[in-house]
Amino acid sequence: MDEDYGDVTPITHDAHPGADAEPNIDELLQGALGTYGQIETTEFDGNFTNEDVKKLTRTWLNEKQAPDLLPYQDQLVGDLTEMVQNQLQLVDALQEESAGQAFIAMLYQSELERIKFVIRSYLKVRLQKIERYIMLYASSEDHLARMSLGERAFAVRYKSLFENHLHKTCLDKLPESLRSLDENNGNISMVTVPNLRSAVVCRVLTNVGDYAITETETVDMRKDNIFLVSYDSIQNLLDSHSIELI
Amino acid sequence: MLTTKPNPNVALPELEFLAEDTLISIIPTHRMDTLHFISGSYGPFKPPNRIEVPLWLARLLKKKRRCHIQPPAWLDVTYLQRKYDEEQRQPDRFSGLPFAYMEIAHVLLECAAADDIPQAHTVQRLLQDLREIRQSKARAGLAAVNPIYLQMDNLSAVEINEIRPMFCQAFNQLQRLESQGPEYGGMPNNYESSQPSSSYQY
Repeated sequence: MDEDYGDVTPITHDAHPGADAEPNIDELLQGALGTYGQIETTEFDGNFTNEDVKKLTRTWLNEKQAPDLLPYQDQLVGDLTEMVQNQLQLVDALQEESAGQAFIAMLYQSELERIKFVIRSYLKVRLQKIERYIMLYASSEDHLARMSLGERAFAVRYKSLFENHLHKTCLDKLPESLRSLDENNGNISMVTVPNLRSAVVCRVLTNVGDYAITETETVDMRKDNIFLVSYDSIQNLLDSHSIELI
Repeated sequence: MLTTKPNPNVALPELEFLAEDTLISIIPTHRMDTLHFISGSYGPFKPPNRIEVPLWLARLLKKKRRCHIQPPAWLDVTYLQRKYDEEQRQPDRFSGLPFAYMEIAHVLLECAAADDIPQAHTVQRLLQDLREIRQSKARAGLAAVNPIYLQMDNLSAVEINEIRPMFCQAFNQLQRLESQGPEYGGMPNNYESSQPSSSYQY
């Protein structure tokens, strides 16, 4: 009767736990071996899963690991925020009803807290990066284009506060020639920039095949392989969603 | 600059949070209509029929005594013993276990060890043994770090998180040394060095 209720992942999709033959556990595990986001949006015997939460979770983890600011996922955050609002109304309505419904409301509430946590974490790690590299980001068109409207406004304001502070507390008392905040001296710059060559750990999501990670070095990248590499060597693969940072 | 650098390490509670999206089989003890979550619908719950739900939901239902948990096939004495033997046979490779096996096992043993997991004590001991043998292999891997790449298949989330600070710093340092021609007296210092943060104990 189990099949009546639908299995969403491949884990038990192929498995018949009641069958006489011992199931091949390694085969069953294939599905479970993936990371957190491998479940596709599927309709299966009335069960369905929505990819958005998984996508946002992956987006957050990528952002957390990447040394540089990644493009803001406007649509995804917008959609999920709206779904959270709608679900909140449902929860409120349920709580008014019977005690049995209050229990269900509590379950829904728990999921909402989880999603809100992911959204908050995502936005927070981005703001941290913007503050850290403000002198670069606020004056780089490329980086400004990766920000949300709110982040752009924050960056502009944060930069002016930051500069004002440095001027008022110190720089204005120095000779004019020493007041600059973005000077280059040899190969030493005053502007803090992220190190794009820093090491990241990535997992391959779809078979990439031979991939040139440096001018001389090629690696065969297959699904589920895990690599420690420099961020700039796999940036393309991250943009095309062939890998995730873990 | 004034602000702290974003820490790429994931805290252990965060790893557990992520693992809680894994689907787990349960047998509900109470009848309940289909639940429509944002991330998907689960149900209807009709005892004694088995159903798959995310681990966080299974944990909640278990705590309210509304379900029995069916431990995943790998959370089993025979299976774990086999994996342990495999780890011993292959000193330079890791056996395939779910990416979040430690976190899932931790949650399940915490909320369902007493009644749903057979031989929970032995399972726990085997997990500990596995963890130790894999940990020493992972640490030995530091010798293999080079400034190009390092393949680390089958390492789990917690294990990666543990070696990350050390391995990444070694990688960055080697890269810096390599890119430094003899004409440079010092290191280019407009790049940040990554500070190792403390490792997490499971």
